[in-house]
Amino acid sequence: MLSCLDIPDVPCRHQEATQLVSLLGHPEDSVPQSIFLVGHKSSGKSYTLMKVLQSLGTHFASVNCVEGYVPRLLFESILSQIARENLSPASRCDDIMDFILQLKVIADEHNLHNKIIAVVLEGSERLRDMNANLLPALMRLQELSCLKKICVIFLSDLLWDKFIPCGGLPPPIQIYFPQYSQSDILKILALDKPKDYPADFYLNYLQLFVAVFLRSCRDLTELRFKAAENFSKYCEPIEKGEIDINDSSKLWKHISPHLKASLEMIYMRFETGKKLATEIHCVPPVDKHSTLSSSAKYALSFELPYYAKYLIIAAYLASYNSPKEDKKLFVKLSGRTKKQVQKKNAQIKISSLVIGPRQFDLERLLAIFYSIIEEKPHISVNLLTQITSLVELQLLQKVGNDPLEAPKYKCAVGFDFIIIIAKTLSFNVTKYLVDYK
Amino acid sequence: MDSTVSVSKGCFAFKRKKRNQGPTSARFSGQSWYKAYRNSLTSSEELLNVLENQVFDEIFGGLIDYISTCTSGCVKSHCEIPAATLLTGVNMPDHSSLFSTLSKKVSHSCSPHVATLWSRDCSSLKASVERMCSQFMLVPANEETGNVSSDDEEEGEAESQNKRKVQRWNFNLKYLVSWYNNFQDNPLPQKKKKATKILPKSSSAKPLVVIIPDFESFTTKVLQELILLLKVFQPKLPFVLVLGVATAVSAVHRVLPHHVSCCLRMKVFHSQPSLAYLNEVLEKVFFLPNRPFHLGGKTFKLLMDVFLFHDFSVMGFIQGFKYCMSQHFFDKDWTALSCMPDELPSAAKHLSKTDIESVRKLPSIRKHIESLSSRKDQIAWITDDNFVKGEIVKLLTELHKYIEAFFTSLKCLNLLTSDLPGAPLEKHLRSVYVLASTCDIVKSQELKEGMKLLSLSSSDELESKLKEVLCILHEAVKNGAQQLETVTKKIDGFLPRFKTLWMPSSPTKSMRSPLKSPSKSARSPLKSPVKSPLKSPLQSPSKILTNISSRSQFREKLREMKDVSSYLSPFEKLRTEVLTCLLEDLFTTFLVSPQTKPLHEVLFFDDVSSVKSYIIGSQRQALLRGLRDPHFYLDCNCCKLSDLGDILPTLPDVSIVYKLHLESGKLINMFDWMQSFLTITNPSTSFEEQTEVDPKLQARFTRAVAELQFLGFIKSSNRKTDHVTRLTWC
Repeated sequence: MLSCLDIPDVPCRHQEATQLVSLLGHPEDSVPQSIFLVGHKSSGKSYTLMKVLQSLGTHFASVNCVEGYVPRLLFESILSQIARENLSPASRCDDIMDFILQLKVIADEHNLHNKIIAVVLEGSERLRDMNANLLPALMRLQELSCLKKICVIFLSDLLWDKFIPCGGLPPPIQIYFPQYSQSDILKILALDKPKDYPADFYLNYLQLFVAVFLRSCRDLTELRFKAAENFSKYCEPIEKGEIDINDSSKLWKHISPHLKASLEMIYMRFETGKKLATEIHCVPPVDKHSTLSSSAKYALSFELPYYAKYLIIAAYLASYNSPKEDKKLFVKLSGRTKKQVQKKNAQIKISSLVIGPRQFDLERLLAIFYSIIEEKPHISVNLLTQITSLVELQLLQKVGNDPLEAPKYKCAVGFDFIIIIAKTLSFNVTKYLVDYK
Repeated sequence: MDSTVSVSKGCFAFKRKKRNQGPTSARFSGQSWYKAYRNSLTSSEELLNVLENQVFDEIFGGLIDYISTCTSGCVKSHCEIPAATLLTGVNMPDHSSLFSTLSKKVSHSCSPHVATLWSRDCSSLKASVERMCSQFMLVPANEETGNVSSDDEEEGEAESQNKRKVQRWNFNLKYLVSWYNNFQDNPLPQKKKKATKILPKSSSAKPLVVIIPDFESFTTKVLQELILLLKVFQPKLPFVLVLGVATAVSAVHRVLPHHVSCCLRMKVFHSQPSLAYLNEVLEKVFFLPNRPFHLGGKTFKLLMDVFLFHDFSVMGFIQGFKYCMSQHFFDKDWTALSCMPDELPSAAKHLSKTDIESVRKLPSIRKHIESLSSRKDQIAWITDDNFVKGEIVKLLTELHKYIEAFFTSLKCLNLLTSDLPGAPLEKHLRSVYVLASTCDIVKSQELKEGMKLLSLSSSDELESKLKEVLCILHEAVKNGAQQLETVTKKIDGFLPRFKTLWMPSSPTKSMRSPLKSPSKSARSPLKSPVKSPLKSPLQSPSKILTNISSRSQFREKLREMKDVSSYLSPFEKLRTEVLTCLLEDLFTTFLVSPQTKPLHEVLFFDDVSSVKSYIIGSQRQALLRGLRDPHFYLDCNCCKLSDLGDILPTLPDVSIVYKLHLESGKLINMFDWMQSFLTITNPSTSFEEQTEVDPKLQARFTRAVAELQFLGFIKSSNRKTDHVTRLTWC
């Protein structure tokens, strides 16, 4: 029976396409209320579905749920796509009841009662955050709207288990899209073959490419992008006539550093240009710091005002030392506590560097600030606005947003960052860190 | 003071009754100091604007090119949103002006569709989309209605009706699509006219530019969803994002997860670091001769400190400068003398008697009069107004000339010493200026140190530096600084000698110069001009050292050698000559601190104490002042204090309680405190202890104490009952 229907040619997704066609390809039979397509990002869900729907000639509306920050926009978008015309601005559709009513009207007008109507909801995991009755209602749209051939198709990268509200829902038909295997990816990437080069040559390149990238990235769109980006570099010496087209080992030697550099910047798309590496970290002497961690590079890439530097160090100390230690660390001549501290050290629990930053209040921050800075600047408005500035730069985090309560902060930068900042001030941070060894 | 009938607690603002005064400019316009102030302000503002435009053009040039071209090259298959990332630096206060200029420039030169989204307006996705769409759809309409000429009036009306039709619930992307298509199909008639005038109409659609100036302060969730949403509509609407990132590009990637960040195609642009911008501002606006107003060393240092230590904000610096300027001129008619040199005579002519009297009282003039040699002149200074007027003009013209030479030689000095190891004289012109204008730089340790290091420099270095110095000098002379002419000629004379230096000389001598021992070169060329006749014939040091038997002999020999080795190669001679010339003829003559000059108060503003509290606001001080002297802020007659220690019953309760608490020790007894409060507020029963307390007064006292606790002066104590702890000690 399936053979009589045209199954569209979707690379590596034949099984899923067949399943979809068997569900949607028979207007004379009944149609499932809802179908749930689940699979990782860029595993071909929407592509397969669109191919199937187009080849079947189904009447459908496709919406991305990001648009639905107000449900009205979601409803209106679906309705206008089903009606295949722009709705008059006067007809507002604010809730699911309006939606169902208007859907009926449109179906009457366009004579859609006997045709399959598919409503495709991409990114449907967002529906969970919307009105609680929205998801159940959409799942039973057929029942509610009395349109026997309407089918709502949810696309999501979360499993159905994560959707079930506390009241429970009858499970929809689920189609799972597994991740592409290595050979699948190769097959699909090979479709992008540029015209000027032979297929073998391109396949050769792809094998090199996939071997490098597959460990860290299975996102097909990203891989396609990267493959295209690096191929031009791969071909560069051939076009210049430096390397023969068949000399694959030389070509590999040429391309492998490029691939590694490109792998470091995966998911970051920069305007293609040669100065990629320098553009990212924005410090001219990148080569010097190539051994540093990324947060250290981050610290080097911009300059902070003098007091702001001390403030961020003070914030770090406040975040990673417990308030009990403050007296010992910052008050001179507090020798009495020495013995007790040694005892405590014996039964040390977990280092606060592991737990993460503590929150602290403004007064503690300022107290530490004044004890670590040599000159004592007046506490002025300019100084306090620096704290706000640091919050805006996301170097500090404000905890809680009660405007009346005294504000509390957390330090949002790591150890490497602080070390770099302290170095520019020639200030020894480790002296003040209890847990540092 | 006015009072209210309201029973609720709170602050009430009373509007001052309007007096018929008009705007400030009208009130002051008749006065001569105001005219001088306006002149000086507008002339600096003009310079600043020119500079600002130039700087912004540099930054935005590439950015605008990118915005206008990026949408056309978009490949269908991976259709990311082009995102121009502008790294702005952490000088937050400057950003708003930067981005408003950017949005103006973009709307003028590449696309009329610009929306700026500040994080404060975008607490949710809905709010930000509405904000964005409203800017796209309404702004052009507004502009049009503003620009319509009389014959286009009908269209203008239609436009404004159109505007009314667009309602708030229509601000969504779907509606934007139809609006945009509509706009592309039939752009407004005025638009067409404009387009043909300004730029050749390109065939491609105009991009929709979304500017996000403060990327870091956005809520991550809103930002992510916004980008995903724009991405969904990207095929229909050509969006271009401009992200203003204060820190570094990696911040973008920390905020955005990979499925969002791969929606963006980023291109990074750098803005000029604010420090470089400031240096440029200083060079092109402040350190110019022939300006009617200069910042003195102390005020300049104050502003610089705020800049370097606090916020890196050029705007802040300029505002501070303007504030100093207004403070300098305000209500002092003699400041009309702060004008360009050519306006001086007329300004002096209009001085009134009182003005001249206040000029006479200036400390620098007093010193000047005392230093005058002839008795007659001194008397004329004190009695003859016309004589004083003439003298003022003379002195000020001299001062202007002096300033010109001062800045020129300052630049020369900075050029010579900026790249010395350890930078004894600071690297930047600004710090040299602070040094030179606050103390006598020629006698300072720093200059000596710098000269010492200079006397070690090689001939190539010295020659190239000298050439640059000459460039500065020549330019200054060309601009009319005759006083520098002799020095310039003298230095000019040195240059050819550098060329002939190596021709006849033997290579051994040239080898010697870099190997010179520091002890010898430390012989200051400043004090002792070259001892040209050599004391003894040159002997190789190694030869002398071979026939030594004891340590004391060795030491003696070394001491002798130190004297002997004063042989100088021709280059060394030339070097000392050049340096002495620079020091004596240029620096000693012209780098005199402006404070030593008569009438420097007219052109230099150096009254730090009067502006400090305004430029660096200190909330603590303001609070203390308010409590100690409420009259300062309340400006009422009842609170006038002859002595700050006085406590009047009419003062606000907090103030009374505060003043009383100053008298106590670490712990304050609440009962005693209240008793003293009562004796002040209710003096009738002052001598016996009041056991029966008026509940009203007690309530007032309690409230005042609570307020004091809220302000952080006291806290409750656990040590003793009925006591509070005092927290501040001034």
